[in-house]
Amino acid sequence: MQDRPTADELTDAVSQFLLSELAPSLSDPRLRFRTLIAANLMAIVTRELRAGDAPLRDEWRSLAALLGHHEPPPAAVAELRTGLDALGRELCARIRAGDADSGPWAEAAHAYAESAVTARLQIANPRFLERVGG
Amino acid sequence: MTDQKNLQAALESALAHATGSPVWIENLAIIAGGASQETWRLDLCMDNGGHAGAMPLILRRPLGGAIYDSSLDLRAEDRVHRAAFAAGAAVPPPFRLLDDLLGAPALLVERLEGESIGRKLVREPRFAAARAMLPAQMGAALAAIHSVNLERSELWGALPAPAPGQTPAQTRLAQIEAELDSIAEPHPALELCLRWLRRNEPPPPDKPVLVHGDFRVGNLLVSPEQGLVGVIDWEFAHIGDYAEDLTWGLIREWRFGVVALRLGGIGQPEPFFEAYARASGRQVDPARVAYWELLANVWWAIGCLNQARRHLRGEQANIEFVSLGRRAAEMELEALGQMLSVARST
Repeated sequence: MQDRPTADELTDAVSQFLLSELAPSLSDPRLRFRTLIAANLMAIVTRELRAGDAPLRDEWRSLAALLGHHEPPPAAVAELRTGLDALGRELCARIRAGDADSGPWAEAAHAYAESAVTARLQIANPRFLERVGG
Repeated sequence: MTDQKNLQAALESALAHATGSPVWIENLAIIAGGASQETWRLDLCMDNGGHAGAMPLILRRPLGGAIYDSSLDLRAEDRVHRAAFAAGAAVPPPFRLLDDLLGAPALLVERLEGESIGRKLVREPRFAAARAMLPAQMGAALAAIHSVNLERSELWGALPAPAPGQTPAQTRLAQIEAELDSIAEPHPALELCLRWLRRNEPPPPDKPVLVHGDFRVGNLLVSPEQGLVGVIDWEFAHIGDYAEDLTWGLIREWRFGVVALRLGGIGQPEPFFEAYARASGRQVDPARVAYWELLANVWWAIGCLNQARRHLRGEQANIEFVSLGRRAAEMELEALGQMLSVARST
């Protein structure tokens, strides 16, 4: 257990520093642009840390259900990630084989793909979702 | 980054040799630009018999790696650039290709005055008149590029072209599949789009054309008064379907935040399509446009994933490239939405 600040508090502080203090002080536009990118990446890390493992477990549940698997998600995060990768590959192989060309399973596969991309964007760029949705 | 003093000395020596007269270089400076190449600006000064003068030039040299496996080397890019210039397209006049400048080829073209940065072109009031002119100018420029005679300019063999027996779309889809496999990360949304694109291909074009391959706001030099002065960044040129160039500049990514203006954040596609049709004689079919616009989003999603991998593989440490890995999902969501809307309308 580390003392405070927590990891997400640290990345948030770095993001704010890059955005509010460093970027405005830079006269080289390319360096300023890259500093803003760095601030944004720190904000992504902050959101990812705050979300914890929950998005991975949610993704596991909907992906396993789509593929007809019934095992619960692994407890360890490393196994969860490896398992998700394997399930994702299985889904991709089935799509390439034509299983999602039409019919009810195709609709379920589309719904899953959209929800998985949306879940990624909630971490990577929630403002994009607001703009698309609104 | 290349050391500026070394580059200047090497360039002066190479250009003195190439032009056969004493030359020197002034105002050499690196500028913002392409992702897989270094771009410099310079003034080439010559003194041949009292006719001293400075020629403004742009120099490009390769960096490690490329966005897509199919990007051109500078020699092929030079050939394409010359062919487009000869066909009357608005492009910077070619100057010299140097085979070996500090161990890599370098391409020199004349420097035209114009702004290329998308974020500025879509927003700054001083470009308002240019924005009004651009759609028609882009249509005319694209028609000129597509009019290049592929046989006469010896571009067959020098450029990526559709695989034998395949249409341009089929060739591109095979590339996407290969890129997805090499990225080695499951992307079901892209797989669904790929599958749809395979099953809903429009009839192939009558004949393939010289495709610029990155025709969009951001790769156009624009002057506030004249609008389009030059089409730049030819590294993705290939032989393919004209509809690819008509749609790449429409995707949300290239609207630079002004999403209501579907043509690059500067205007609507219709005047662009009309000008293109007038100059080329090709009518622009909405179904073909919808197909290739979806394909464009998929292709840029792949581009983002690949750019991130250049950083992750250690080929080129670059915070901008690595950040794109987390942006591919934007293009995936856009592509899924387009696929649904096309499926509903047919």
